[in-house]
Amino acid sequence: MSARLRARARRRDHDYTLDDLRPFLVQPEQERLKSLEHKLETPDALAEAIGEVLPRAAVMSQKRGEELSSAMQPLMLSSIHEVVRKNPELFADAIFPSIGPAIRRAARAALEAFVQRVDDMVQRTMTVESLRWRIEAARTGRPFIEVVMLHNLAYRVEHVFLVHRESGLVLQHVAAESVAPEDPDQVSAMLAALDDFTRDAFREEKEAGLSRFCVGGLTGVVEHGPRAMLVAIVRGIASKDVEASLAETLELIHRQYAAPLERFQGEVAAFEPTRDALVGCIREERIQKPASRRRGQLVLGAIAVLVMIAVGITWSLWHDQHRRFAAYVEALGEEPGLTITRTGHDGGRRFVEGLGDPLALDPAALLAAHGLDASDVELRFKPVYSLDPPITERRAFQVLKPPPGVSLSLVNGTLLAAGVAERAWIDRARLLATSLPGVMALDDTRLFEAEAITSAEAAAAALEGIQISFPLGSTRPPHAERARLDAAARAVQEILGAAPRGGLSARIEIVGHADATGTPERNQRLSEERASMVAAELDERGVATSQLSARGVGHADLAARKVTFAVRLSPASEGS
Amino acid sequence: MSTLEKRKVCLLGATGVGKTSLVARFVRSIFSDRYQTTIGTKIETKHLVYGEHVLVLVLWDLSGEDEFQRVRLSYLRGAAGYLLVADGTRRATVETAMALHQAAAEHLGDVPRVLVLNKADLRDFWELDDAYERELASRWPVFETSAKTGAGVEEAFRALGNALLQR
Repeated sequence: MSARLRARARRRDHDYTLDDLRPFLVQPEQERLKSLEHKLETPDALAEAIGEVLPRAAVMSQKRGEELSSAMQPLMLSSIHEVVRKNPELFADAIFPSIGPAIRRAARAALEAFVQRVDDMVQRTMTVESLRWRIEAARTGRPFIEVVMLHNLAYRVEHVFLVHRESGLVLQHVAAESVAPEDPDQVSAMLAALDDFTRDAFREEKEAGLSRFCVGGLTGVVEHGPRAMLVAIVRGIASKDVEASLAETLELIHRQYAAPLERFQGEVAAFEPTRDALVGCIREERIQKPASRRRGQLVLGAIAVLVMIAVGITWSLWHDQHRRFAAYVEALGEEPGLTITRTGHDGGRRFVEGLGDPLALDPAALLAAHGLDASDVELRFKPVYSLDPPITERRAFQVLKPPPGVSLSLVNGTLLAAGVAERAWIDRARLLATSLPGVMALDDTRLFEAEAITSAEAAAAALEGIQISFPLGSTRPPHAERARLDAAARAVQEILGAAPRGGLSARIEIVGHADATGTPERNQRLSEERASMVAAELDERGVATSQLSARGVGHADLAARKVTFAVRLSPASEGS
Repeated sequence: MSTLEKRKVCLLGATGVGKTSLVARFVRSIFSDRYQTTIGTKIETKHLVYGEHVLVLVLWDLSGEDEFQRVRLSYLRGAAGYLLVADGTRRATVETAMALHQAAAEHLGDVPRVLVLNKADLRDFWELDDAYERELASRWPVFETSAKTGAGVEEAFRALGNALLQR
């Protein structure tokens, strides 16, 4: 047996291996390690362990700064978002107790802001102060709104630039409402250049930088960070709040955007989400005016009164127009030839619908008399034939066209025509009158022919020119007088025939005369006999002598052996 | 989707080479030329569109280098590239541009840059011989421009912008 093998045999007899001893030496440590292993590798156990220390860790992290809350923010936001998306009712229930007061507070704040705006508006437009500011604006050449702002605002942050420190490039820029935007890249680069310039020119330490500059009413407040700076351009006197908000925001940005800031080469998209943080730096502070709210309320009251007056005036105008419209419609209804079927409003405009005879009065002609305008009322009339007597009468005039001296009137459907007209017109009127709508009959008893009057007058003149001669002492006309007797008979017949047609009555006298020979008594008798003789002659010739009268006048008149004729034509009514 | 990127770019060159005139019609500036003489730079912006990419060059137009004034090199800080401008009719201005290039390279390292030889409308009066121009062209992207006609300016900016986007 070799020495080595012997030694080995000896050790087996007296000694233990390390593995044999380990359980005795490190037993407690091994158990602790196993326990730790169990805690780390078993999810439940690990969760329990972390759960024990998590609240304390959170508290300690909070004390050190806001790193933990910044880190947790996106996680919490996405959790809340997910909960709201999946179970909106749950979220609604949770916020219900606080939403009511929140809405009331928001409404109150909105109302206060409105009152404040009304107050501002009043101040800007109606006060002596505003006049002064306008003069100031005109004198200084500044816009009026800028002057107002100068006097009303303690300060307002108008621009906030997030600038990459090394290159001077703008990473983000926000501006207040109604502030005219300039090219932010140029402004920011120029600020960086000024920063460099002042540092170089005055040999200031490298770490220091431009922190505040003033130009007129503007102040630039610069907050420097290791890789970026925030620049706020403030109108008015910036309070410490501005600097504090810039510092806070810049710290937040450095924490959240450490990596993009470090490797920035010009890709600005990575900084788009910083907009909200920068908007948080846009703030303003107003100069407090204690009485303003009361003034705002007074103005609101005044506006309410004005509105009521305006409403009253409007109602009165509307009512007045309504009254005039009603009177107009009533007048239209009374107008012959017009029938109103409907009235009302259509698209804010009044209208009248109905039927109208073309011979009736134009409905538009009545508008002005009732204080209305054609633009106020829309007239919708359909044409019809009206049987209203005045319209029928107008239609008779229009169709028959009576000559001067002829009158037409309608009584109970009968058209009365009176006067003197030519025969042709009378014939036409007789033909047409009863064919007119509304005319049942024509009464032409007082309508006379012009031609009949002419011929009656001509015959009367001819008769009065005829003298029948007698021999001395004779009551019989000689044979030679027969032609004259014939002519006298024709004339008398013509007069008696034509006079009634001309609306005349005729009185024809046969007057006998004697010469101066003999006594007056004899001459009287002779003259009467001669007149009677001529009447008998006319009777023989078919003349209706009942309408003639005969008398003798002796020798008083002509002192000749003759018979003459006297004719008197007079209007029938007068002669009857 | 369009993207927006920004780069700071410096314009460098000797006095009187026409830097400001060169860019005046291609850029927009809200500041007056006075700033160049007061604080030594004037800021302008130039927007370039490459397909869906928009590149905003914020140009720091530094006042010219000459025997009376030095270019304020601290203004180079953070520049992504630079544009050297020389006057073709004055060879000395090319040498000034080379010296400024050296100084800029020390501050910025190897960044995109282009050399612009201005006054191309006066080509007959140039003091540069062909050999020298060839040598320049072998080391630089060289553009011949004319502030008077505008020729070549846009191309120079686009080339520089392209190189900046490639990095």
